[in-house]
Amino acid sequence: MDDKNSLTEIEKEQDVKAIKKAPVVAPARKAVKKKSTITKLVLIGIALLVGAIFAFVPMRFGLTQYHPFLSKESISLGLDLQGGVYAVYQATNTDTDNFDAKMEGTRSALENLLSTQGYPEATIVREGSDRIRVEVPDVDDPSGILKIIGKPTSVKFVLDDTKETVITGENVVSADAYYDPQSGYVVRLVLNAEGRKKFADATTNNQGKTMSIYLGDSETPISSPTINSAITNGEAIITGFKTSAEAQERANQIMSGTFDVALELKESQTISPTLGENAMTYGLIAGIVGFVLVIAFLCLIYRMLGVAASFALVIYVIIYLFFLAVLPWVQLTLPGIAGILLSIGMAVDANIIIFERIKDEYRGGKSIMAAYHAGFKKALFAILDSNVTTVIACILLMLLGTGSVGGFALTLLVGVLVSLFTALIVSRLLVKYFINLNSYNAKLYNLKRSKQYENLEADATDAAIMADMQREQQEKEQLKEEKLQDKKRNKAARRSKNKEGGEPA
Amino acid sequence: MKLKQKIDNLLDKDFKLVEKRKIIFAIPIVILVIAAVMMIIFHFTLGSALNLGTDFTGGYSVDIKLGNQLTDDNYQEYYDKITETLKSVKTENGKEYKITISGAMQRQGSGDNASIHVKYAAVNGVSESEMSKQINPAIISALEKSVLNKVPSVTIKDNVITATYDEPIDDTNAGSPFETLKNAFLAIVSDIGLTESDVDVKLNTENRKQIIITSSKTVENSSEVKDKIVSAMTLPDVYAGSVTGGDLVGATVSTELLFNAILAVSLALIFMLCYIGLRFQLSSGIACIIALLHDVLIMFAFMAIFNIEINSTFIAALITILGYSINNSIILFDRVRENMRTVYAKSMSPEGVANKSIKETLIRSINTTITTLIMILMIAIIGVSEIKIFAFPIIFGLLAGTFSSIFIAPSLWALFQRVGKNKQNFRIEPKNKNKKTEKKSKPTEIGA
Repeated sequence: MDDKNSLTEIEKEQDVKAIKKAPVVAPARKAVKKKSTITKLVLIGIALLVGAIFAFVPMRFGLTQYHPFLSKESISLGLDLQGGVYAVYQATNTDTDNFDAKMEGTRSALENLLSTQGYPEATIVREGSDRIRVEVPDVDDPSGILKIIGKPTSVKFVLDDTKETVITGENVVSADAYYDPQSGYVVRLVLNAEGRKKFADATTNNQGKTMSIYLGDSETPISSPTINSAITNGEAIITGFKTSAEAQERANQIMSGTFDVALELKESQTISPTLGENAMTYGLIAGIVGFVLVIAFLCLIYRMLGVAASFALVIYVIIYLFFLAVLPWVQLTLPGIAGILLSIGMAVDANIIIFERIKDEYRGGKSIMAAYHAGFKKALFAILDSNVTTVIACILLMLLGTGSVGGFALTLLVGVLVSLFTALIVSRLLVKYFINLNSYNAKLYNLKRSKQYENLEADATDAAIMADMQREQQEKEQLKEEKLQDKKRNKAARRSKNKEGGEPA
Repeated sequence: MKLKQKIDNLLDKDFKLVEKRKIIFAIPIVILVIAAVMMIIFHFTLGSALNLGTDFTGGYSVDIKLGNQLTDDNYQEYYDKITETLKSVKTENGKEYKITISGAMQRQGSGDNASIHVKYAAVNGVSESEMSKQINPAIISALEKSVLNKVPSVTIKDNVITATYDEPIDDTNAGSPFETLKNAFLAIVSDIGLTESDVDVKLNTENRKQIIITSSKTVENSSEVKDKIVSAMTLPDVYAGSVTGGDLVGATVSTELLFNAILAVSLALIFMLCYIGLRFQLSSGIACIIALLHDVLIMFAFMAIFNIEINSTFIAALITILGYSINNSIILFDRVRENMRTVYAKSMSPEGVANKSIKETLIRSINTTITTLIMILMIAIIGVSEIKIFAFPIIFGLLAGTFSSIFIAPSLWALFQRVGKNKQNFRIEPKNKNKKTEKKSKPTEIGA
């Protein structure tokens, strides 16, 4: 501890000496600095413009269409914004062994089924312990999807001779329907290894006999074909359908019947895409109006600092949208829109903290540049500490929160991290450049001296810093001395206490 | 400018805020008491203390298929009609119920398939079978009548009956509505004490909205007669609209989701407490968490007072405020931490340190609240109704969060310092004057 202190003190002393020796900055140097600053600012401006174009403007490169970050194509939208169909299924037999594993199996089976039926973008998630939620975006009519999942049907192949069941739905991996020129519309079942073996054995040993295929609880078989040859390829064919639709429906029903858990439709609803479109359009308008007002407020209160913060805020929005578009786990929902807009208001916070610090420092006699350095330094830990707690909350909600809660926390987390970056790095650079442009006119930054330092020039750097450092040094020494005295006093107190305690004994 | 000077003066003055603990703690307590009273009142008048949406409670839904193009203009009309109808629904056995619409109505589909989806909560104290056998059919038929049909308003003056419709009755349409209506009226003509030969039924050809019936006799002007005419002359929707549903919808916010959210938030609070305890003081952490709980309670209180529906977006609003409020409190405690490190801390009371810190962060607190409020107000003003639902709790939470971080958290912190182990860090005037401790002599030493 002591080593560290003395080291920094030595450094500071050297600094003070260096400042004493340093000549007053020549005007020519100032001009050079200004020029390079302007170049940097122009570069940042160009980068910002390019970013803004990529974020908001749809473009066309030859044949490929470029979708900006802020577009339906880039940011994946929740069902409430995109429109579509959702259905909630409830398991009817919950008290079986391995229920959880069975539900999971059913969920993935549903996923397979829907994606083979032309809805690859459907999301199937478990809701609670005994429900499965199916969401299919961009679909107007729920009946098609409900039909696919439809009423699950069991299937069994029974040898007519011995009444022995050869295979059931448990052995079926997939079922599909097609037209066969010889036998008409058929459903083909692909069997798993166990089913394949059983089916092969049964067909080998019972050639010439009939095998009946039953669907559901029906007593009459849908067909009773004669076994002509051993079938060892693990495919069972069901014939006897009149139309392709019937075959397809049966195939779907058999597939549903293979689910480990019986499902019952609890709720289904169509959500109009117009809701999402309206929400996004009005959200955008609200965002633009609010954004302009916030910028106006900042520029009014902090003048040039506010201008720098406004640029940083634009960069924040662009980067935020970029991450929303790029991160695959982000799904924008209705409250998500509000959350994003709100985060713009909150992202300004770090800037405001810094600017208030700069104001304080300038009031206390520092030059604008020195006040800027000190302001950022002092605000840093306040900003970091306050954001770390938010990050903690977000991460826990993401890990433990289910469904929309986790998604919302992620949107919030991305916003916090991006706002940290823009406030601590982008704002910092921009403010520095802005001050470089004019470091002697405090009015530009709405900075004021306290009465004590009224006569100090805005860029009276050396004198101010030296005075400041001396004052800090003095304070430190005073503190040290006080601590020493404190220790002494404590020792003395303890001694006297011991004495007092000792006397009666 | 004058205002600014005033604020400056206020800040330069000996700024005593934390000392006014009684007022500070009284404000949230008063709000909570009001909320409790309102909840009791709502419990007895509306049947439930909190307005929980179908997201939490489950409920019922109807689909109103319009068979009509849905535009922004006529949507509002339909919306008003549905809201009006559900305010009072009469069942067959004559009971009247007020149906609470849950969440926002949803426009579904497009073109001729457009429909409006309405979710509503079960009527309190009514069994499920009564709901599905009595009330739901009543709701469906009421909606069919009012939303899909064109109901005239009927006036009777001496011998003239005027039936006025909202929209023109276009007799060029298939089925000739005017003829239909005329025949419908003639069919009941004897019921109202007239005969067919007495009356002359005409369409007002100027606006095509009115049917004027002139009778040779004076028509009895009673509500009974009017009701008969209205029900006879109600024009079924010329298109094929229908109302279906009355289906049970499950709660989308499952208990598991709620439980997980609460678990996550509780764990988050513990972790935050640890972090603040490490970086600041444990007392700061506890003050932060209490301030946070205050914000959540106040949000609930306002939702209860205004009986605003609580749905799944409210959870998102709570999370947002959680982050915002902690942020605010920490900025303040950062100043406290800094002020404690200075030479002067020991010559100050805990209240003095708290006041100094509040003073130094006040402008920042106000400015940040303003920028955040700007954004959320824009959402509340411009956004669609589904988003507005989210905005209200946020506004309450924002104000509560600002209040708690300026007033409650520092007051609590100062209070903790007085009772806690850290006493020796401050100048605390002992209450008992006889007790002469060495602490009292400290400030004079520093001054010397």
